[in-house]
Amino acid sequence: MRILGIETSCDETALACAEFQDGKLTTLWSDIASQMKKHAEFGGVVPEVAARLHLELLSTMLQARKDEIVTVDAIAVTAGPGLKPALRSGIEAAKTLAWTLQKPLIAVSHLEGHVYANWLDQRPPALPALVLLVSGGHTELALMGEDGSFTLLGETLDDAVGEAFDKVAKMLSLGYPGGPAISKLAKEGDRAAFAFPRGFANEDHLNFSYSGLKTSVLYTLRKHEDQLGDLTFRANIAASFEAAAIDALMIKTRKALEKHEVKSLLLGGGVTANGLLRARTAELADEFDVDLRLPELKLTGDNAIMIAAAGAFHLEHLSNPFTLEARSTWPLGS
Amino acid sequence: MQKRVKTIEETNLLAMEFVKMLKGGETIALIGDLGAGKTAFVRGCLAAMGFEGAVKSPTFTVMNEYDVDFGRIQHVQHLDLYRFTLADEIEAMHLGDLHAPNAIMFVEWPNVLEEELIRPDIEVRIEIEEEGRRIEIAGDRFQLAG
Ligand SMILES: Nc1ncnc2c1ncn2[C@@H]1O[C@H](COP(=O)(O)OP(=O)(O)O)[C@@H](O)[C@H]1O
Ligand SMILES: [Mg+2]
Repeated sequence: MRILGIETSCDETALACAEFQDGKLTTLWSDIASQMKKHAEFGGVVPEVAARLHLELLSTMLQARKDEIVTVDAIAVTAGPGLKPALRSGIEAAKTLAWTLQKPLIAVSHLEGHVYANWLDQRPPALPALVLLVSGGHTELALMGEDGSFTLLGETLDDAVGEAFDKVAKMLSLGYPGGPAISKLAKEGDRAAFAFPRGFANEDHLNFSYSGLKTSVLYTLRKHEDQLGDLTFRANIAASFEAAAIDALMIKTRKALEKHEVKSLLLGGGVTANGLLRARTAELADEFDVDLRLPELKLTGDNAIMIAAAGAFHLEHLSNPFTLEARSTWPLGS
Repeated sequence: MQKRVKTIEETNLLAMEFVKMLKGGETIALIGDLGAGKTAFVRGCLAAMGFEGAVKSPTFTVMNEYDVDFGRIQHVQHLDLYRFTLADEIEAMHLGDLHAPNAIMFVEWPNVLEEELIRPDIEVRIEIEEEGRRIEIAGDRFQLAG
């Protein structure tokens, strides 16, 4: 069967179609109208302006795919978590399509979408799995059971890891998005130059904290104000920050792997584009002998094909095309 | 009033005193650099109002909402305007509609834009010092003892 995916929860307006057959998912096509350029001027995502952009872009994109869209068997749309005005643009389009085409409507969690990106165009990962989701708004560890259910194991209690990257980039006057800019600068620096804190490193629970790291970088920058223009100093800050940020993720992922016996380690979210994270999780997966699935670089950011993929696993949970509403919060496993 | 708080625990004690003075309906602006402790202060206030869950940064979500049971206060909105760059984007959020006598609203980065968009009843300014923070609380119809 063919599933249409629609995603407007954050940065991207996206429309895609996946074929689901014998438990395997194949990408038929995947369109993303990047709002990045517009947002780079704004410095971020802003709900109302994003909602207007989503609506404009989506109607153009639907028009371009109108012949394909009439052939789909179901419609999956991101219903949360996210900015409600932005989510509504996608949801209203999906409701209208579902009603006019008389096809089932599936409300998908954006977070589950990131997980199911690891099912696309490859052998399905073995379950149970440990899931690590890392983005500008999320830092979550969850267990995915054999039946596909999610149990949240830990999450950030303050800032998300991607947010820490963006804010430290801002402190160093690097551009938006902060992640790639920090990583690039970090390549020239010494990861051990500054001993930045790893949030909750010594606590037994699996939650994360990134506000202490942000503040620690800030204090170091204030202390060495005279060196702010020095390239080596800046590179050392970036490298030491990146090491601490990724280390904190690895400490908890390791703990989770020690506590829970799983077959796979599944990553998702924008921060999975980070090279250090990819290298460190590969080592960890080797050590614990689990199958590591990292999304392809083009799937690390927000897209709609992952929403179609997640929809394929929720065909028994259909939504009403007249009443489906956006959910600003939607924790994994609820 | 103005106070030096050396540790986050001292910030939390100040937050406990602070929330006792609220009547409901207030808009509270939080002013201070990245990492100053704006979100930490709101976390302290929510804990003091009996909220037990995590209080996460609203930078990406723009607004987080909490239900509490603290005298007349039943709802707490926690906003962050950090990522806004145009006045009409903020106006389009219709923040006034959220105003209610049983709700209070915390706003981080209320002054990201030149235009005055938020008319706070109380301003909480947090300065980073070598050791700890200096917190200054001011408001027309607001008196804090000590
Ligand atoms: N009085 C204080 N003394 C020492 N550290 C503090 C104090 N108040 C807050 N902090 C720490 O500073 C950091 C502030 O982070 P956060 O509240 O996210 O800042 P902001 O929201 O202003 O960007 C937290 O790690 C917090 O524990
Ligand atoms: Mg904050």
